[in-house]
Amino acid sequence: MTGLFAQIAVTGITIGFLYALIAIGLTLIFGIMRIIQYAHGEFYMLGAYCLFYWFKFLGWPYWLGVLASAVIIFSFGVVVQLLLFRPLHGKSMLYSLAVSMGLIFIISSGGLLTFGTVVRGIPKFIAGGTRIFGAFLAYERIIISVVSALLVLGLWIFLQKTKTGMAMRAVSQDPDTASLQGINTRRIHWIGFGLGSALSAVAGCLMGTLMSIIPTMGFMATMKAFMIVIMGGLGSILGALIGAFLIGFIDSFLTTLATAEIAYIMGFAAVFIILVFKPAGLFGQEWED
Amino acid sequence: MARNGKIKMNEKNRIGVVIWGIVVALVLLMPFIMQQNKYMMHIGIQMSFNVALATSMWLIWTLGFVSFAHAGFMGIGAYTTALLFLRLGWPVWINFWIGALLAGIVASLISLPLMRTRAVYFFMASWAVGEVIKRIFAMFRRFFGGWDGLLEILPPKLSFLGLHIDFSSRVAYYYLAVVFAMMVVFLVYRINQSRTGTIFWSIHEAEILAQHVGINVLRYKVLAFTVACTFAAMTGALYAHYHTFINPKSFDIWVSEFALVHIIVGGLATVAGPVLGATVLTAVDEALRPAGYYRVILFGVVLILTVLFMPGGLESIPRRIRALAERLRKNEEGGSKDATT
Amino acid sequence: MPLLEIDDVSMYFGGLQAVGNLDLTIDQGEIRGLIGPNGAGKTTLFNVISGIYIPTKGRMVFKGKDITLFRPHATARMGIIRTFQAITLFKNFSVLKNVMVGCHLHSKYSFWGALFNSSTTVKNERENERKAMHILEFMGLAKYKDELAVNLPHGHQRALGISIALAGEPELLMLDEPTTGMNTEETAEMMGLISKIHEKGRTIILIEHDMKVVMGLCHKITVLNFGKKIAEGTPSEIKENRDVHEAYLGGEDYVARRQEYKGALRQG
Repeated sequence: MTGLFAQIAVTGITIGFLYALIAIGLTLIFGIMRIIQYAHGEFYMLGAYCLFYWFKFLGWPYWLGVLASAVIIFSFGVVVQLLLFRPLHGKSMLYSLAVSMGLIFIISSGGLLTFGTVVRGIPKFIAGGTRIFGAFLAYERIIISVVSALLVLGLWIFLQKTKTGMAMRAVSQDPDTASLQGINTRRIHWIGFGLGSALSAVAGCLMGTLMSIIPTMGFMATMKAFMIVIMGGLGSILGALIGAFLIGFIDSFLTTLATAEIAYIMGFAAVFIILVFKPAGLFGQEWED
Repeated sequence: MARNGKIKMNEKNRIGVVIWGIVVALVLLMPFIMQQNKYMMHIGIQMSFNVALATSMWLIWTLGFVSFAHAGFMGIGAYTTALLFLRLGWPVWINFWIGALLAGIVASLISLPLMRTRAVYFFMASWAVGEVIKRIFAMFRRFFGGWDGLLEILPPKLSFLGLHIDFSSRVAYYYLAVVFAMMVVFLVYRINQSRTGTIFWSIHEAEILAQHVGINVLRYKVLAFTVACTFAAMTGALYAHYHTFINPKSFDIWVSEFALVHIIVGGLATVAGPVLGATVLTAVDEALRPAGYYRVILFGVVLILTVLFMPGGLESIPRRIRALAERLRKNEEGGSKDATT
Repeated sequence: MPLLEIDDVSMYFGGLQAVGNLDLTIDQGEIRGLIGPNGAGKTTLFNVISGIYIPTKGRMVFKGKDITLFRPHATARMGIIRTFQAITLFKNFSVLKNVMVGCHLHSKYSFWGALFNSSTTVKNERENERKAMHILEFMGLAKYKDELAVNLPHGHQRALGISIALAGEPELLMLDEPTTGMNTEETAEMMGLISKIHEKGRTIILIEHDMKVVMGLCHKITVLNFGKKIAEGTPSEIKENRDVHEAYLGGEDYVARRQEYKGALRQG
């Protein structure tokens, strides 16, 4: 029995870290720009395909591929922000929702056209595993979880200690005061968007390594990310982290013990219930439109 | 006409009334114009459903919200009607209203906690509602038919006062769908024109001020949401009996997404927006069907271009043309003045 | 005759005390000034009274009824209507429509009647329009009735905000810094308007920074600092009050300093 629970816990932690990457990326974008980036999961998908093509044409090394993917998607994100989201600054959130929805249509259908509907995969970068408390833990998963954790830690340090990071936090909390203090909010916007998208892309790479890659994988990622971010509170990194593990565990638990359907419904139900009692999420700030 | 969606009766809008009159006449005469071409009737029925969905989503927008639960409520209407028909053999005309009532009750109950959330949180919460509803249909295989859905939801037959209509005839269903859509548009139009509509827009404009002048904002949010979801459910009921087959995928998120695309591309200011957006985009969608994925890409491009360059939507085109004509006229006058001095 | 009684009301946000153990009684027919340095809790108090916040502690009674837990629309129905420090209007409605929305509270309305445009509804709408025009004339905004609210000059926007509040026929009108951003002329006009409103029989609470306005209009003044009441009395009493001086400028004669400051603003 412990074996089963250990397996669930292990899966939950691995998924939790990956969810955390996507969710933190989204909450960063939300917090800094106050836009609805409905196409966040599309960057996740593109990240996975970048890594896939890296392997197809260049082979190893694996982590360089992930880095390349992150850089490419970061740049793409910056371009998207400058062209599509910057003009919407200050307008109702409906517009960013609409634009990002348009992006989903373009990117996911474009993906289907370019990449085809064949399911892709990325070979394991390290084989084998170990047993812990009766659960089988693949080395690959351990490394991925560790890397994800390091990334989250690295991001935390970036936001707390570097000038740009602190500027991001300032803009996220109070954009008007931040610009009065001389922070170049426009610069923070595209950096934040690029960074958030890059995080999503890395999550896509890692998830794509563990599971499979298809052009429609983006939407699921978007849904999870939104669920987590809303639950944790928009703009709250801590909330996103906690939410990610909560949803990760719910998913792991219920998928193993019940069905994926129930896991799904419970996840959404959890979000709804949390919103009923805390309309701005667990750690969210209420804001006026 | 300010961005409050109201249409004042004056010269310019007598033209509007005439245009609506022509549109209604055209719509009603369409089967004869198209010589009862089945494919055209099908498109007309699709358009009617999309118009009803878009217009009811617009009603929620007038308060300042976007609800992604729309598809879910369409599903409630569809499944209720279908199940009552298939399992109990009840006539459609009763099932339709039961489905609507059920949807209305669920909507008003859900909206109470839902309305405590704001803006983005509301959007997500409504999305959650829609998803859960869809997944409930998928989950219970024995009752709802699971992912396989329900089959043989026959179109109704009407025997009333000596009038016998078999709605398996596409022309007959066309009229049913079109009359339904017109009714929805008319009702939404009337609500918007009335003081209820003013209250909705005032909540949209400045909710805190609306509260402070004595408007019970929660009550109106619940009202709008309930009415809109009921219309969505009714559309679902008609959808079920037309396609004779429903499964949870029919009520997926993209139904809500497309309704949103329709109202944004059509225009957000008046009820003409959703009507225009839904009809035009349904037609474009059909015309481009052979293009496969490129079709969806085009929709994305159109949506983005609309938001960035023509945020008023299709319904703002007449106004823009008029403004352009004004400017051209002024330039001409200015030019000729220079010539004489 | 007490109209509004605020009894030991405190408002905490997390650990921060925005309003502390406040006792306040507003009598019918008075004009009460509410002053204090920035951040003293004046607007927070308005928010607590109108129902945006529910007080952490204490009780509020209006016309004998306990309104402590009332939300904004309920307090409005009771007869307390406030304006806002930041200009809050239905920006894309016409001036007339803005006031007509305010009239909603005291007009007859039925959803179905409105839906089908019954003759009663048409009559009600006309009645509302008449009332709204009456208020606009009273406030001197009648000629702007078809202008979009967002297009009005700043001073008129403030007057419109007050018009909307008046449309709700409040017994207690709470004005939050009505002369912000106004020059001497506009301020004098606003003072005149407030007087007129008072003459019509309304009780007024006035948050203000312009001491001329406060001294000129108010019967009694309550002074807040750090969320607590530090003084209360007639204008002349407050002028001499040392605690008040200290609160504002650390012991110096604040009235003179404020005149000086305002003068400098006008010239600069």
